[in-house]
Amino acid sequence: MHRIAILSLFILTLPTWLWCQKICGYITSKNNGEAIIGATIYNETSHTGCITNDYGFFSLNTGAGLQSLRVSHINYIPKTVNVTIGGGETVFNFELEALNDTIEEVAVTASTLNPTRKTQNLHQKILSANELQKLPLPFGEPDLIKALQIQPGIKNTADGSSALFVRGGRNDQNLILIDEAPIYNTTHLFGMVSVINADALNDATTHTGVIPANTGGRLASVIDVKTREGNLKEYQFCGGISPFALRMTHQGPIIKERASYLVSVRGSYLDRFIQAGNSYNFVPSFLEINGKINAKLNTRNRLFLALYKNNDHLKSFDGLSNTWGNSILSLRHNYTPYQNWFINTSLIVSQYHNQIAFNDTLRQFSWTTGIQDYLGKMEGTWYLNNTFKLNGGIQLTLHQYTPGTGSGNEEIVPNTQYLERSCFVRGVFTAEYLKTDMGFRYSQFSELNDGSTFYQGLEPRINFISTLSQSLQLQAGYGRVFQYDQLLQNQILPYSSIESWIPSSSFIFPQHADVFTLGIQMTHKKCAVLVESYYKMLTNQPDFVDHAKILNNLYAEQEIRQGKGKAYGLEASINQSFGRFQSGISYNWSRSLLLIPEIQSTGWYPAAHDIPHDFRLTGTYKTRKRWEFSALWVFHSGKPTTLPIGLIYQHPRYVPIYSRRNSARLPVYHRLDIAARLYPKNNSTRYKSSLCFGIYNVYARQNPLGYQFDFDPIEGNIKAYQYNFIRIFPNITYTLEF
Amino acid sequence: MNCKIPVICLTLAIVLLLVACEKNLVEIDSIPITPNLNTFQLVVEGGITSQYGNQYIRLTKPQSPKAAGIPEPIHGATVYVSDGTIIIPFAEMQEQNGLYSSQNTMAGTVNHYYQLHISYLGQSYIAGDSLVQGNEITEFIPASSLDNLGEFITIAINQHTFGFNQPAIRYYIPSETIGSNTQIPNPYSNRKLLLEWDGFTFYQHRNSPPQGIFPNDYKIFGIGGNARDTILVMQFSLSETCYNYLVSLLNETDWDGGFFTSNHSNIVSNLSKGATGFFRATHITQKKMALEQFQSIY
Repeated sequence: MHRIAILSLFILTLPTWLWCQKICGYITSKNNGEAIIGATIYNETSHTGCITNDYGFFSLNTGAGLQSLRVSHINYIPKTVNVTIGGGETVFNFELEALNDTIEEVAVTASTLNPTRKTQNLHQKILSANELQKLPLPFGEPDLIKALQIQPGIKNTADGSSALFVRGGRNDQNLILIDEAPIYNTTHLFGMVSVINADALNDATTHTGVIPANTGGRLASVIDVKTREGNLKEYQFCGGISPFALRMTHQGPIIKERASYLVSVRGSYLDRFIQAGNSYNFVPSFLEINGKINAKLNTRNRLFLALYKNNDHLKSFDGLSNTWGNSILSLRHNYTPYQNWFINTSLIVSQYHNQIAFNDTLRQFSWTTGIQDYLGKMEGTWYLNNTFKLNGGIQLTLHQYTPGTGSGNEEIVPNTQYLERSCFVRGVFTAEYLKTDMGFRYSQFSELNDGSTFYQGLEPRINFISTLSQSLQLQAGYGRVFQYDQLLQNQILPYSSIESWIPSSSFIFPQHADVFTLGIQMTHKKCAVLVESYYKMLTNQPDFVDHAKILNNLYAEQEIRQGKGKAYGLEASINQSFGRFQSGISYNWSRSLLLIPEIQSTGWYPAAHDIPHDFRLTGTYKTRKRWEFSALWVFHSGKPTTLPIGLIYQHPRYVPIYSRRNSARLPVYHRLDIAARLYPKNNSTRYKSSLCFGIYNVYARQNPLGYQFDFDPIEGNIKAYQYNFIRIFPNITYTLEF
Repeated sequence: MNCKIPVICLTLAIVLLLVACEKNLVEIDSIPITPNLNTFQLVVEGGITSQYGNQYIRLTKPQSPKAAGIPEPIHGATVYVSDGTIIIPFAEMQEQNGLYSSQNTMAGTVNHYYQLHISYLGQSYIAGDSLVQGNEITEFIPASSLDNLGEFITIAINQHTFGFNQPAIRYYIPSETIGSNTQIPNPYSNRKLLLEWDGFTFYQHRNSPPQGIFPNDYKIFGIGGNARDTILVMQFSLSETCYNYLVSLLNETDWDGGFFTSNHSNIVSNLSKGATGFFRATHITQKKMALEQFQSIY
């Protein structure tokens, strides 16, 4: 049967192979020569088109002779180019000029990122650096993770945290890739800032529904971040200062139009001026650096070398210190052997460490956890014609886990090494009214030290997008995903740095999820309505046993029990444009539940990140001249928590009694953020600056992070403490580019 | 204008750091607590010891978390303990806040399994514990420091030291035995001091409490006195179940790490459904020692 299918496919596509001309090339920015991801090239003569891949590459079948090609991207001025095909030339590179802030542009609101892209996945969100700068973000610092937190379907359970809870998933079920390298901790300054420097960001694609077959390893989402390649045409400097950080980026050509570099540094400066002491319980600091070299070896070969390193340090007045950081080194090679082939090969090293230490008169010990990945992968894309492309690849990852090593322990759990092997095949069929993205991924996970662990899984993925009319789009999908490692993290506060990544083992089975999605998008004039639903069946979901100890515990994995989970929800959003005013309203109803009899025998109970109701309102207004105003209002159910329902006395202490786990909720959460951005008069195409004034939590709402109780056995008093994040915070951010 | 921006940013950042995370004392009524006192009908403390005399068990009721006070005693319960061969009836003591005393003097026997039976308001509750052998008391104590300043000796002792790999032992130091010059600078000085220790192995349980953020010598208190001042040291053996009860109890009380706590849960109990607390069987050894006899295990 399958032979007949292959033969049919071959016969159907044969005409396009034989009689079509194939052209390929890159679409780049005229301003800096960098590749434009997701640009559209449309043949107005034959009414066919395609979209550039993550490296700005396209492959298009055209007819012979004079062809009219329209090249466009949401952040660039579209242009139409007439080219003659058939003269022997097969490589065509196009340049687009970026939209200037001073001219009329496509406005972007929090929940309408690139809504005009045709047959785009409804649950795939693409966020460019330009779009990021315009979102109403907390604290003024342009921040990718904070931008994602205000997207429909993505939640954050605590103020200031960089944790992401995507469609009922846990924080550790998000795969965050920077230039294809996995990153394991995204937080700076308790999470108030995330690790991705906006100045070095090119584009970030987030998959929150059915994850495409070419990636996997996490159940909830994939956030694929591409950093800038470096200006191939001229030297450029940009930077900025906010209350949290000072940032500087320099880029320019090494060989004009052939090779470029980018160096970006960002760091906090607060620790230069104050020390932890009586006035300041904690002083956090961080420093991060991005470096990149991009070289066009010839028309068919390109090379990218990327470096990322960050180091965070937290010091307290009482001898506690916490240091963590990620390091990434990636070498990628693009090769286009033919006009319709694109091969990417990557060699990547990713390392994450986290150390918490006490050093005072009473306590001297440290606790170190971490993970190191050595990753090699090769991925090829075969563009059979304008409607069908075939994608396949293999990946090998050597994971080295340090679950936890304590300086005070004589017994040390040795590092463990695991090999993860995966391969995938993916076919994408794109017609005018239908896009089908289907394939499967197969993965294996085995322990190298003694071979005691071996797991494998087949992950089918399929996604249909049907464009019924210009204003109506339907989407349905199914996917299965396996996850072989998990984060042990305190659930009371998600920005606690007490955490440890541990692999699946003989104690912990791999998690997997079956995800079903259904969505519809309607557009009418300047209004877009999006309704999406999802249902996830989750297996081997971990949760802590009672009184679990995750730090300084050599056998922390034994503190976990696993069971079933389910997550489901409905997301609705309306985005409307009224000239210069853009508004967005979104409401999400969702549940995330667990069934782990060893933890709670009474049935399903809410996960720690179960937030049933979530309402968001965004608005941006741009004046004719130099001002841009934005606002964000968030209102959602309180986070589940476990509170005492009674007290017993066990001499000489009061001991709380608790009801079922996560059976109580914190009060409802709401806050309003506003921001105003000023573009000075002296801005030009060469010199740009902007000043952003913002207020976080305008009406000073005290949203509790949690409670702590002190049951005094001597006095018989009960003291209750409420923890809050900052109630109101005015901020200012200055950005400069020349 | 631009030169002022860094100064403004720095000022704002310092302000943020000062107020970023606030811990405010709030009224308990402002917290969405829904008291439910029906989960447990009664709370048990006490049990059988190896010391000859009356044995005691206290029965109380749970209280609302919004109003801690003297626990309400349980009156009129029928209480007895059996070890499979004999039945030890208990009777409620008058004006003793739910304290029930064995009607006869007796001593628990090592390696016996004692089972508590309570009948109250038509419901029956049971619990059981093994009376395990305790260790001999030695001059070695888990002191983090022991300083001999001529005639004056100071000892820093860890408050929580116990384990279950070997029968665990607690130190019990009645304050009335301490000499007139002895100083006890700790918040428990006005009551009997309670130390818990396994005798030889410092912190046998593999997880350092609470949640691992405090070291083994957390909560040290000191005793200072003349070299010949004496204290009475009493050791209480612990069964493994009792050890688990103590660990869970301390996790929710002394070792509560606040936001560092992984999750809050009820304490381990050996009572049947509807009751909580712990019925304990323990072997007690005791020895009077002068301060000059103590030696640090370090």
